Amino acid sequence: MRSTLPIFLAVLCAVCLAKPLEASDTEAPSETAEPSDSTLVTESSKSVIEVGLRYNGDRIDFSGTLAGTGADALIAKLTSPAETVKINLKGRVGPFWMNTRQYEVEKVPSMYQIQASAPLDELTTPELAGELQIGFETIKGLMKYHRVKGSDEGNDEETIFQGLMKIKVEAGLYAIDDTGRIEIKDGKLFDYYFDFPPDAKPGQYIVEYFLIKDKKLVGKASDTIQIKKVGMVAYIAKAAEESPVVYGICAVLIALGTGLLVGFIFKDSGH
Amino acid sequence: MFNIYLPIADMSINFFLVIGIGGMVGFLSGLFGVGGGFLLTPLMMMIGIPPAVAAASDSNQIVASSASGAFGHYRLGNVDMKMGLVILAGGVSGGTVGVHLVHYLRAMGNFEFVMKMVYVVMLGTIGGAMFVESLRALRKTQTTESVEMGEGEMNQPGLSRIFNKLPLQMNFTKSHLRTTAIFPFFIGFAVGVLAALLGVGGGFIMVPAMIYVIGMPTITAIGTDLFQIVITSANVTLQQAMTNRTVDIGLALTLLMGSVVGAQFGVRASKYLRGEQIRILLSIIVLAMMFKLFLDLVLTPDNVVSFAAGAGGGH
Repeated sequence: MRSTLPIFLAVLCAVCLAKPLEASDTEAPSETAEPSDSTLVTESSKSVIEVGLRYNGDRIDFSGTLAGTGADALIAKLTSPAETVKINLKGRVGPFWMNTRQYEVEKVPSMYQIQASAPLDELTTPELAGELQIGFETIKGLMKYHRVKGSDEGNDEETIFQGLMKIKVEAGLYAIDDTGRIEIKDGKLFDYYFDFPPDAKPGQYIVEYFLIKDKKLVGKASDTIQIKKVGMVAYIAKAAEESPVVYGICAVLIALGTGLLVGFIFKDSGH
Repeated sequence: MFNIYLPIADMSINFFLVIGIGGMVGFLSGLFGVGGGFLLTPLMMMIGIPPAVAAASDSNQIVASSASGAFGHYRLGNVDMKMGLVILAGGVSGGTVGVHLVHYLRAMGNFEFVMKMVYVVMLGTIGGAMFVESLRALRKTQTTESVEMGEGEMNQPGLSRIFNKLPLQMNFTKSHLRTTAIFPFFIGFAVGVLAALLGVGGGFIMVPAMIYVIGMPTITAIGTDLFQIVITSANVTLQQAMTNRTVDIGLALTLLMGSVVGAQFGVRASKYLRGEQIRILLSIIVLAMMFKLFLDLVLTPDNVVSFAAGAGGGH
């Protein structure tokens, strides 16, 4: 009896693991990047980033030509649809620091990166930058703050924005690089890349290209990038989210089975 | 760099770092015969795992790491089933209450604060007591090797007179005891709440309580404790998965890999090392951990802003 127990558990685990698998992973890969403006030709090394067990960030290379567009400069912006996030703010309570206020902040892009072929202030006017939402100041202007808990200790909104920026910049999610990652050769060919840090969340991302000539927008185009969980990661995340009871039972059974199995392997020790 | 992506924690982390921490804690638990959950959760948080995920995944890991010990003791007849079930009635309800407490505290935004606070108190008490006790043992220049345990079983604990007056008296034949079910239930409940809140097994509270307060024989206490740990942790794991979605099986299994191997070395090393010195070492580790967590609570944070649980952008 004692040697059949782990085998029984292993089979049980396999059975309950097989169940949620049927429902997953039917999504077709998204279409390859295709510029919406026919005058700008771009190409990307891929349009889907797969988050698997070995995922540790990724990079997508872009290249293209400005030939025939009349532009001599390029700004590329990578964003994800703005979302509403919940933010905790710490404050002092006696000798301790604890979360004392909670806010909901609207219109926070999960990721926001800009690449430009020349310093942004040489390429755009403030009006154009505002219109195209280029620069951290423009996303700051869009954010809306709602206090959910606690009372404003003065200047909370600025504190939140600065704190958010710090988190996002340190994680590599927000970045502005206008010091030459985009290089334009022969006045028309360009290539550059976007870094997707490990913290980049699954979802739809948009790369927008703004073609610039004399601080004026002469054309634009966009690509979509999808980040999605695949394989084991997708499977586990989906199971945990959609069938938490089955997932919980499986987690327990797998642990029991593994623990007993390991116990049999290292029989001589134990508690 | 060999990184692994944790599906529930939603982060990429160095595989060897997690294995290494699991191995280190496994080594210490093999060396000292402690569960190690109370070291594992804080270490997980230190490498950036969200506290709630650290605690819940640790509970999952504890199911695995205590399973074979519990089974072994069960076969050897060291489990007082009746006592175990009374404690489990408390442990399961305590764990369930604890998980909902975690849920509530996360929504309030102060789970991390409360958890660290409880850890500071707990690690401070255990580490301090252990430090003082092993220092005293060292001073005595040890007359005999085993002073620590095994003696308590013959004592009639002082509390037993009070317990005799309480209702719900039961016979626990395996432990040769007749005592009230109320205390075992409540200690089970308390340990269940701690298991959910901190991701610990709670042996460091349960075993002394069983031996010195309830008056169970040492070996039965250890067997029964392992039995209740497996089921209490299993319940906490399931409840965490259902209520908080914080159980990362990938993290739990990676930790397990490390701790299993570490424990083997720990058990072997314990045969060559002297008791009191190692215990001082463990108490210093525990106190250092407490100090670090205490600093987290009082020093001006690097960033006063953080993402709240459950709404995009992080945990």
